[in-house]
Amino acid sequence: MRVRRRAAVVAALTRPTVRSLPWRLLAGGWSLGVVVAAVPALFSLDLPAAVLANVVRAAALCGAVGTAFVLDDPARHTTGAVPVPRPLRQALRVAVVGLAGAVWWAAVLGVVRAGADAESWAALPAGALTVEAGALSGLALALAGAAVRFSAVRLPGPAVAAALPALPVAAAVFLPYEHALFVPPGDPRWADAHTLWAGILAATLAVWAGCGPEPRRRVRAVPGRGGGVPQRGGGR
Amino acid sequence: MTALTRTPVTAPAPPSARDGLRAVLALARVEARRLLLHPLVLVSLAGYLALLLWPGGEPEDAYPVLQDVDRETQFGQLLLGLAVMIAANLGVLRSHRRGTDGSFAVLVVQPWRRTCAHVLSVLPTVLVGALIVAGQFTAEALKPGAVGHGSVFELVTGPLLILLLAVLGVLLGRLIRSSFVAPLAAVAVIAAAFVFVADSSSPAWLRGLAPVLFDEGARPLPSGLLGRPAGWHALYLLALAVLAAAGAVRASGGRTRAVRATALTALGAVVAAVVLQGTAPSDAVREAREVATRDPAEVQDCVRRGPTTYCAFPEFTPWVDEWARVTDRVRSLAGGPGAEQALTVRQKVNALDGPSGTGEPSPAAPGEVTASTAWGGERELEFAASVARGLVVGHERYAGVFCDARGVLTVWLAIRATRDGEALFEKTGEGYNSPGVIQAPVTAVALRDRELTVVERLLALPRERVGRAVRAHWAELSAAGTTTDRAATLLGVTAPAETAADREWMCA
Amino acid sequence: MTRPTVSAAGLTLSYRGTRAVDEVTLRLTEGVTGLLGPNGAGKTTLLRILATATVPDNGAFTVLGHDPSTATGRQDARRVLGYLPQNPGFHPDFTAFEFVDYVAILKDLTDRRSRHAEARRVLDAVGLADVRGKRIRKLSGGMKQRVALAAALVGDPGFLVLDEPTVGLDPEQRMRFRELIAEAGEGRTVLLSTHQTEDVAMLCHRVVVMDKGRVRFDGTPAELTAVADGRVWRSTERQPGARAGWRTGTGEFRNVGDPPEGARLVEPTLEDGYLLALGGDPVAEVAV
Repeated sequence: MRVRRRAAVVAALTRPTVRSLPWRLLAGGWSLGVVVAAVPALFSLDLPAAVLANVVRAAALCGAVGTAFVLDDPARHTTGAVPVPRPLRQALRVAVVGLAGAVWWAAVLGVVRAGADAESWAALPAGALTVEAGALSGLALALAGAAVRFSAVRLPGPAVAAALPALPVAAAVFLPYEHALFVPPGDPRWADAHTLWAGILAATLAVWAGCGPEPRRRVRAVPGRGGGVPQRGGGR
Repeated sequence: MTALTRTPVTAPAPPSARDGLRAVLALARVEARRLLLHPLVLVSLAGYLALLLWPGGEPEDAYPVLQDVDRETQFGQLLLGLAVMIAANLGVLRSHRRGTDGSFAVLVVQPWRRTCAHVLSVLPTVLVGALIVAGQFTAEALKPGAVGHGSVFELVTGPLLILLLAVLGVLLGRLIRSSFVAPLAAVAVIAAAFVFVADSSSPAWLRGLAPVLFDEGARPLPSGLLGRPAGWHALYLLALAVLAAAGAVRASGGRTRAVRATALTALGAVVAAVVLQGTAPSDAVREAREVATRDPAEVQDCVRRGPTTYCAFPEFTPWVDEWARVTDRVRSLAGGPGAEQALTVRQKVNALDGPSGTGEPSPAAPGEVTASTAWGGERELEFAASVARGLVVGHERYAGVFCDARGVLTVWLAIRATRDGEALFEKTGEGYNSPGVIQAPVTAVALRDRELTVVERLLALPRERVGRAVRAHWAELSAAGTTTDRAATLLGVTAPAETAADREWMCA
Repeated sequence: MTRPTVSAAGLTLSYRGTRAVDEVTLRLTEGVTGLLGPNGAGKTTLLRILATATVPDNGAFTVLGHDPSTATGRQDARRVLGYLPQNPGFHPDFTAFEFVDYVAILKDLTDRRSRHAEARRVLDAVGLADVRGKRIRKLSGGMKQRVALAAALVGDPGFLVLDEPTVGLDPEQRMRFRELIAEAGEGRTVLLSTHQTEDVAMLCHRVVVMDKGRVRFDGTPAELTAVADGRVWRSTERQPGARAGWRTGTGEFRNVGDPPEGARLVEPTLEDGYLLALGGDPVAEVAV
C-alpha cells in the first residue's frame, strides 16, 4: 500500500522535478567537460594514456561542478512542510540528473576515444575513471546535501561549486605519494588509489543519504551553551 | 524620537573627479578586506602556508639551487590564484546574488567604477601572495647550502598569476552573471595548466600561452643556460591581466577613451610578449649551452684539494667543500694507491635541451669523475658512487653491469662514504623500484642480486674490519678479472649462487 | 469552538546562545489568531516550529491531534497543515498552475484529475484564475504572494500558518488578502504573523504578542486595546513621562504611557495596547 502510494508520488513528481532542475547550469558544466575531452581529437594530439586520464579527470570535474547545483531549490521554504519526505524528493532529482549524467559521461568517453590512438585508449581504464568521476560528483552531492541539511539555504550550489575544485587540488597537493589519488594508468599505486576512490564514492553517497532526512531532534553540541545547529539565512 | 527631528548636519561637498577616485579607493578597500577574508581564500592560504611550513622534507632541500627554486614558487601561487578567482567572482556577483542590484544601480558611483574598485581590491591579496613568495625564496636563499641566482621575473610570475586569475574572476562576473562560471573556469585553468601544456615538446610560443611555463628537467642548470623567457612571460601575464581588467570595466559601461587605449596597449603587449617568448632561447644561450655541455672546462672554476681537483660552474663552487668531504671519505676507505691517485671531479650538465632536458651528460675523460648539479641525500650517495667508480674502474662508459669484485667494491665504498649511506641506498632502490642501483651521474651503478647480497652481507659486518680487508686487497679487488666469489672470500663473507635473473644481465 | 486544535507547551529554540523562542506555551482554536511582535521577537521561528519546518530544542506540540515529534506524526501533521513562509520562493519557470500542482503532489495528492481540480480550486479561491497559465517570473509581487497562499491552501489544510503574508502589498491587495484570510479562517485554525495591527484588529478573534522569544500577551483584540485604557492622552507640549509621543496633524501631541494628573485622556487603539504590552523596552526599538 505504502509502496504503491510512493510509486504514485514518484510518477507524479517526475515531470515537475525534471522541469525544476537547473538544466542550464548542468548543461554548462557538461558542455565544458565535452570541450575539454574533445581537445585531443580537435587538435589531433597523440597523447599518452597518462595525459588522457587527466583529460578525462578534468572533464569529470566539470561535471561535478554542475552536480553541485542539483539540490538547488528556490521553492525550498514554500515546500518546507509537506508530507512527501525530503529524501524521496532529493533521490528523484539525483536519479534524473544521474541518468542524464550517464549519457553525458558516455559521450565524454566516446569523444576521448575518438581523439586517442588505439594503444593509448587500450591503456586507459575507463571503468576506474568512471568511479573517479562518480566520486567527484558524489563529493559535490555530499557537500550540497550537508548544506541543505545544516542550513536553511535555498541554493547551496554556488558555494559548493566554489569549494569543489579546491578539494581535488588539495588532494593532489597534500596526499603523500603512497596514497595519491590521481595516479597515471599502469602505476603500481593504481589499484590502491581506486580502492580509495571507491571508498570516497561510497562515503560521499552515504553522507548525502545521511543528510537527506529532516531532523526530528535538534543536535545539541554542548548542553547548556544553547548552540544547536547553525541555521543561516533562515530568518527568525 | 528626537533623533529624527531635522537638524543641520555638515552636508557632503558636491562630488568632483577626485572624489570619484576616492570613492573607488574606499570601495576597493572594503572589497579587498572581504576578498582577503573570504573563506575560500583563507582556507587556501592556510593550506598553502601549512604546506610550506610543514616540517621535514628531503635532505636535498638543504641544498637548493636558486634558479630552480624561484620557479617552484609558481604552482602554489597558481592554486591560490584559482581560489582568489572564484572569491573575486563571487564578490562581483554579490550584488546580483543578494538582490541589491536594483538599489545599487541608482547610486552615485557608477557600475564601471565599482568594477575598477573590484579590480583594485585584488591587489592586497596579490601582495600577500608576493610576500609568501618573498618569504619562501628568502628562506631558501639563506640556507647555508644554497647556490645559484634567482630571477626576479620568475619570482613575480606567481603573484602575477594571482592578479591575472583574480581579474579574470572580475571579468567573468561582469560578462556572465552566474556564480557557476568561476568554478568551471577554475577547472578549465587546471586543465590548461596541468593537463594539456605540461609538455615541453610543444612550440615555445604555445607553451608561453599557458599560465605557467612548465620546465621539469632531470637536473638543475647554471642560471645562464636556462634561457627561459621569464621576463616576457611575466609581461604576458601582466598585460593579460590589464586587458581583462579593461574588458571588465568596459563590460560594465566604462566606455571612456582611456579604457580603450589601455585595452589596446595591453593587447599589443600580450601579442608582443607571446611573439618574444617564441624567440627564446636566444642564440647566445644556445651557444653557451653547447659550450657548457661539450666543453665545460672552458667556463668552469677549478680548485685543487690534495690529489683531487674540483671543477664546477662558477655558481656551484660553494659545494666543492661538500664534494671534498665525500671524496676524502672514499679515498680514506680505499687507502693505499686509491688514496693518492690523482683525480679531477668535474661538474657536468646536458644543457642542449634547456631546463626541460632529461639527457645525461657525456662520460668523463680519463682521470675525471662527474659531479651533477644537485646535492644532498641520495645525490650525495650518487656522487660517492661516481668517485668510487673513478677510483675502482676509471671510466664512466656503460659497458654493462660489473658482475665482479669491482661492483661490490664500488657500491660498498659509496655507501660507507656517505652519511646515512645504508638508508639512502635502500631508499634510492625503492624509489626507482630497482634495488641495488645507484643513479650515479652519466651511467647508473647497478648490481645484480648476487653482488647485492654480498654488499648487504658486508654492510652487516663492522666497517673497520671490512675497511682493513679493502685496503689490504685493493689491487686485487679493483682488478678487472676478480670474481665476486673471490671478493667475498677476501672480505670475509660468502657469495650466493648466480640466479636466473642474474644471468640476464649484460656483464662488463 | 473553544477546544484547542493546536497546542504547544514549553517550546524553546536557541540560535548561537540566544533564545529565539523561549518557553512558549500556546493553545490555538479555530479562527484567525494574530501574532504580533517587533522584528527579532521570534515570530518566524515559532511559526517554523509549528509548521514542522524546524525542530525545537525543547517542548512539545500537537497539530490537530498529531504529534510531529515522531516520523509518522510529522507526516500526518504535514498532511493537514499549510505554510506560507516569510519569503516564499518559487521555480520562476513554472506557471502558477504548475507550481501549485507541484506543491499538491508534494502534499501527497497523487490522483491526477482530483489534484488538478484542487489546484484550480485554490487558484480560483485566491483570485488567480485568469493568470494560472502565466509563468511565475512574469507575475507581480502581490500575485506571487497569492500563488504562495494558494500553495498553502492546497489540500484544504485544517491548520494554516501564514508568516507576514501582507508585507509589500498595496492597500487594495491587502484588503483582498484580508478577505482571503478571513475566509480561510472559517472552520480552520489560522496563525497569522504580522506587523500590521490593523490586520489583527480586523481579522483576528485572538491576538498573541511576542517579544524576545516570550509571549507577552495572549487574549482578544479588545483585551489588548484595553491594556491602554487610561494611558493615552493629548497634550500641547512634549511629555517626558510618555513612552511614545508624537505631534499629530492637529498640532497637539498624542502620548502613550503613564499620564500625569489631569491629563486629557483619549480612546486607545489596538496599537497603543500592543506598544504597552511589549513592556519596559524603549519604544524607539519597536517597529510598528
